Amino acid sequence: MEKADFLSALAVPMENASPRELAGVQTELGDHIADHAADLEAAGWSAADAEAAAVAAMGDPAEVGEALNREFSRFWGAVSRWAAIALILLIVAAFLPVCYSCVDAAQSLAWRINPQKPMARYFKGLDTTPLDIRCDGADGDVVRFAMEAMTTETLPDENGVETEWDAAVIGVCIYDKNPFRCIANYLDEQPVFLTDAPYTNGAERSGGGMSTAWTAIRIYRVPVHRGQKTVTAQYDLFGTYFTVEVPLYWGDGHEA
Amino acid sequence: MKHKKYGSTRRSTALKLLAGIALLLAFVSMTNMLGLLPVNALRQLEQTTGTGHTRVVCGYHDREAGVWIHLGENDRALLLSAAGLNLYGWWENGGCPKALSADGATMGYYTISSIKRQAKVYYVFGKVPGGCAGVDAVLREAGGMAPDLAMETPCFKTVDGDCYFLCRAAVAYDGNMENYPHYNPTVKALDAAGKVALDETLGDPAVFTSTG
Amino acid sequence: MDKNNIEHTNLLALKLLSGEDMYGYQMITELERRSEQIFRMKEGTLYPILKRLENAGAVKSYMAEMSGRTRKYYHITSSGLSLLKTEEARWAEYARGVDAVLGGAKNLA
Repeated sequence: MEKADFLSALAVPMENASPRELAGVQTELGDHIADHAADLEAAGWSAADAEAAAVAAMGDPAEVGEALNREFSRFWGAVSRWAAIALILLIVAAFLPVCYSCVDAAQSLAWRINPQKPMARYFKGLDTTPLDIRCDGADGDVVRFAMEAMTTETLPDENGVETEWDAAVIGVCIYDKNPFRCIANYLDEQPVFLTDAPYTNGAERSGGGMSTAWTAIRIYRVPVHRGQKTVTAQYDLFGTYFTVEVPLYWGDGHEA
Repeated sequence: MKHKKYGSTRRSTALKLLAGIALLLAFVSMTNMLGLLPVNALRQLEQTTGTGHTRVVCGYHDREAGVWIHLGENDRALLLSAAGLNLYGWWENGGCPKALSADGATMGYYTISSIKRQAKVYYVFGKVPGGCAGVDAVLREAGGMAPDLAMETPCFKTVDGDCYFLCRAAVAYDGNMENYPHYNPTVKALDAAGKVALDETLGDPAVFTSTG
Repeated sequence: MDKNNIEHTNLLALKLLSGEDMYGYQMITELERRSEQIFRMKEGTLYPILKRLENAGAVKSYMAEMSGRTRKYYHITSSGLSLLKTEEARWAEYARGVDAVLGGAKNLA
């Protein structure tokens, strides 16, 4: 019998082995036959006789194949196959959420390192003052008062009289201490600014803002009295409460 | 010395793959990145509402709303979550947090409308400190023209001496509110001594979600 | 010794590997050499034995190049060394039993 015939006959009963495992076995036994034949040739045998003798010394290929087949466990083979499929599916399923989480976490980190940068577009044309007042919000959130500017607009009051309205534009950045966790954005009401100055049209939060589930920029337009030194911000969410006095930096002779 | 790369047996390969699955499951579960279970929606809502971590009081699948409902509680709030299944797994599909009052009691009201399922489901949930003997909830039509609809109670539990309840009722709905009566839930709860602990008609729901 | 069937082949394979890592053909030639040509097994039958030992964690395999040839080498593990001790003890007990019978038969003869 030739080496190739031996290896083919060996493969017949090996149904438990995968193609890769079978190829490995055939290579190993093929190398064994080649080594034995090489030793016989070195002892003076002809190539053909050496190979035939080396093959014969291996024994019955069907018996060897059956014995080897018993050592490839069908149970663990099936577990491997299904586990590999499950792992691939899990990686595919987790890929997008993990990517989005990493992207959002990166943005959360960027905004907490430099919160003024994403806010700048809401303060165009205004003389801004950076702030850095940080307070603990609910469930690990950080509420950070990061930028302000004072504005004066001339608008008609309820009687139609043109009146100057002063307002503090305050930028607040909210993020969780853990960049992979969401902020408490659901109710979208915190913090609030307390003022007894009259409002112009529109609600307090007319300044705009942007948010993801992980971070938020909120721009507040708070009416104030001219020369007012501070404005009170209040936060009250599920038992987490704080008030903070945000200083107002007037320029252009409007200081108190 | 060249590092030897040892071959693996089928058993060791299978065990390594299973360990990989377990690790990945633990990671996405702890970070809540992938909604593996409906309760993940409750965990997301805890973060986005700011209630913080809650203990699950009860959970069940609401067929008519097409979502999994969970009720969670902590010392600050009650939280009702609705979980829907999408590509990212179980994700929060709305919910309602309700802060506890000074005496620890609270009641919340939430609705889910599903045009696909032609149903609007009303939920009332609450906590009665010190326990309660029972809860009676009905949907009362605002104009008084239609009869009251009894609400069923899929959850009624006593935990650490306090009573938690979740009542629900479904009405037919095709998306056009003008075609249907407007209901408000009326809830009565008796405390452990049999006295009325809660007796309230709830107005507009705290949050409204429309699915499908 | 009958080429078809060698008992205690686990013991022989583990003993060979306890000295150094070997590949299959090397184990066959070494077995023949050390046993002074007494043990000459059907060479193909070594491989199911090695695979069984590998599945049991008694040996590990790796590919290595020696003298320009890449072969699959087997290495005995600590678990394999424990198994070798056990197999050696069992063989010693077996041999004692055989010797006792043969010694008793000789005395009778």
